[in-house]
Amino acid sequence: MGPFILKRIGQTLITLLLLTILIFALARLTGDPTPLVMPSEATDADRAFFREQYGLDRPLHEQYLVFLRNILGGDFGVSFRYREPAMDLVLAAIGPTLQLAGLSMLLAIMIGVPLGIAAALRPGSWFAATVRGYASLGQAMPSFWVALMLIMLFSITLPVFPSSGYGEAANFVLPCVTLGFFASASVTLLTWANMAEAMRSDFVQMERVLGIPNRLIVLKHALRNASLPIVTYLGLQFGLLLGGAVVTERVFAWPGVGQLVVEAILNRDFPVVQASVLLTAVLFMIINLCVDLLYAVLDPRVNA
Amino acid sequence: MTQATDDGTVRSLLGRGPLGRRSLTAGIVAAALAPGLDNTKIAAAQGKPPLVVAFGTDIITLDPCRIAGGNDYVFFANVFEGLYSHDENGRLSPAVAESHTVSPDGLSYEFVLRQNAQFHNGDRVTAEDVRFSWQRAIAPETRNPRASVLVANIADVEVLDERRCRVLLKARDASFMENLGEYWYIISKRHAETAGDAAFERQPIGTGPFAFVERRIRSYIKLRGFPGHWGQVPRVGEVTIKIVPDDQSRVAQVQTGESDLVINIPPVLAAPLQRMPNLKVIRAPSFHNIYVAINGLGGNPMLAKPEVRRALNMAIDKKVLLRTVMLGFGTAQELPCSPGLLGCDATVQPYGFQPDKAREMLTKAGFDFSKPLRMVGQGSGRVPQARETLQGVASFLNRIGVKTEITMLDYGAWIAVYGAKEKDPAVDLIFANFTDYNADPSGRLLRSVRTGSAYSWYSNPEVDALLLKMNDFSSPEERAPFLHRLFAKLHEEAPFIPLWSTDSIYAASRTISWKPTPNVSWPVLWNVEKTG
Repeated sequence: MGPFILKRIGQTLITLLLLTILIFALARLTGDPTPLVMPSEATDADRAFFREQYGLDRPLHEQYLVFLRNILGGDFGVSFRYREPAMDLVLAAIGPTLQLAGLSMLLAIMIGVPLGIAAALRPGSWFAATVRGYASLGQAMPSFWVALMLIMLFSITLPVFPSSGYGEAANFVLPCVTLGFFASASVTLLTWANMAEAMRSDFVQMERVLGIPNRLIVLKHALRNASLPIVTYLGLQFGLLLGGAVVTERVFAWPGVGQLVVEAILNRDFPVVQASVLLTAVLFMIINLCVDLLYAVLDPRVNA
Repeated sequence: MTQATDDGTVRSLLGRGPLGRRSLTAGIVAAALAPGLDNTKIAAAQGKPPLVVAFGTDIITLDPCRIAGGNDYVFFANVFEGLYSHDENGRLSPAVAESHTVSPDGLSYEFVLRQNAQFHNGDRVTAEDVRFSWQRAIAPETRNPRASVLVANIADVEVLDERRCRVLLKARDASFMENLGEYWYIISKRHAETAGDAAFERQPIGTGPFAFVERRIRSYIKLRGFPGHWGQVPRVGEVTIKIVPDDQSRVAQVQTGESDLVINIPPVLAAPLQRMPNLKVIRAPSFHNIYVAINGLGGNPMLAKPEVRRALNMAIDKKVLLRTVMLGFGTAQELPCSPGLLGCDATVQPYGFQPDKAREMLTKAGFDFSKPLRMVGQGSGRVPQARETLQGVASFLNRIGVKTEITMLDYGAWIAVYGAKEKDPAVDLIFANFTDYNADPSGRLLRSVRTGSAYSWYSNPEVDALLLKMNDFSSPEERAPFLHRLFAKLHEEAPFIPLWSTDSIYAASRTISWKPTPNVSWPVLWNVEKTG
């Protein structure tokens, strides 16, 4: 287990270094931030001062080395737009995003896993057909449309939940349902397919012959075998939600990191783009590492 | 990101939600503990109904010396004031000052401050504060990016006594009075010096009808009605300006009753809202102009000819475009300025929609109809219907046989092209929008038609000479005929295709009674009334 973890951590660090180069270069490819930050009344001297203040007048390789040195010291720079430390802005946004992503994934698991198992145990039934319809709808409907429909139904027609905002428990319902609905469709289908395969396998047949109770076969043995792809998917999906729930965050005015990074890209706020991408990348890598470790727990062959 | 204040309170600009690790200091408590905020008066504002406003874009700064764009005025127009400002009808009117006199040479302005003008901390506004506000605005360390417009032309501010000061200009500036309300806000010397720049930006104190309470970046700004205001005492108590970026979600805010007032409704969403019984759409003319700039700098030699530019103007039916693209939410323009801007009178003969004549003029000028005009548009949604507007213009040009090629850019790429120091010769026409901050036209003209200025795609030494003289008058009355001649000249030169000035569109619940100030593109909220 030890060498496995060390190897994975080493790979993670190399990936991070490459990522700093990539994100630094890509941010600067979007162009000069000065016209977006300075008002049109600013003089040439004001604009030159802005570039000088943030080191944008230096050669790119120098800018990169300064950037690398600073982030190693924990300094991610100051937002061009808000003039606040970039990492503080990102950390303030990552909380709402983690909450949204975590609760949505929980919802997806709570809906998707039981539905998938139940459908796999009743092949060809009306129930299985209904589950297939649910999963197809969940994957086919774009999240912005689902979000707007939920607002129309549960905020405007039936004023039960707030249409947008962050802070109260009620604010979580519609965004979590929007994201959770989409993810639950995939979890359902994955669980269904893998459970069906597991239920057809030789060891399940043998357990049945041995008279082991069906509940134990399904939940302890078949589900454990079917869980690897589901865990992989959940890990990937959670990582994607960390940086990519942009549409949902925008529609529900959720002050998360997805919306922050899009705004920062549009405003060419390099420090915020860099800090957001690096932080989400680190989180993504930690999640991947956790998934790998979970593999080792679920499947002892991984350790071999 | 936290900030320790003088009294030991720690507050955060970013804040954290109730489910986060760090919880945000409660707004009211923060306000009550903030140094300089007068608790008695804040308490007095209680009992008035709260107002919730939904706004699409977060502001950039709370420091009046660092304003970066028009959006910031949603905050500054309500929390700060200059010596003079604009009344509910958009006319110049006294604010912190009650009167002024101008010397015959136009170089000296003497202001008498209101006896009852005070800051949100209860301090009376003195001539020393006026002098300090100027000094801070021009100090090199402040790096005020808009100092060049007004304050840099001030040679000195003399304190005559506690309530009187004299402002001495380096050169005559006929735009001086109009610009006071947007380019020179009065701040408290005591508070700014005690707090320091960084703390001032986090807890600003002005003299406006609303006092700042709290801000959470990208979420909301909280203000509170200031009962000690000299005359514009708000009829609402606490104001929460929520940041809701999505247009549809912002509209839903008023439909659900979560917000009382929604700012910046796009025309396509405003039209159906007008039919809803439980809310109302409020509109007001603004100084937000939409036009197409013509690259007359020589990249396409044809466009350097005024007769070709005039012909392009004649090819566009602005009224039809306004009706179909903007659903009527605007005022069609013939001149390159909004009606209401000083000097922008409509005595000139409009070009009108004359497609046959346009084609004839282009043919006569030797226009090459086989070569398409390359157009650049703004496609990101910052300006409502920007994409459709340029497509509409292209369609009218196509009707007279002019071929077009359109490139849509996101806002950042568009402004880089539009405001580039060296204009791209491969661009023939570019979508443009400009907001005048007040009725004075000098800001617009100096930036959009003077040779070499940020947004100018045009060059004419004769016009440059007129622009140099534009502010060299002692009074607006003396300057008016000159401005008329200048706008007539620009109409003849046709450096743009003016289209319309857009309406500011708001949606409000039926409990709101409000007349927005015309000709500003941000809401001035002190006269909002909320019932029920």
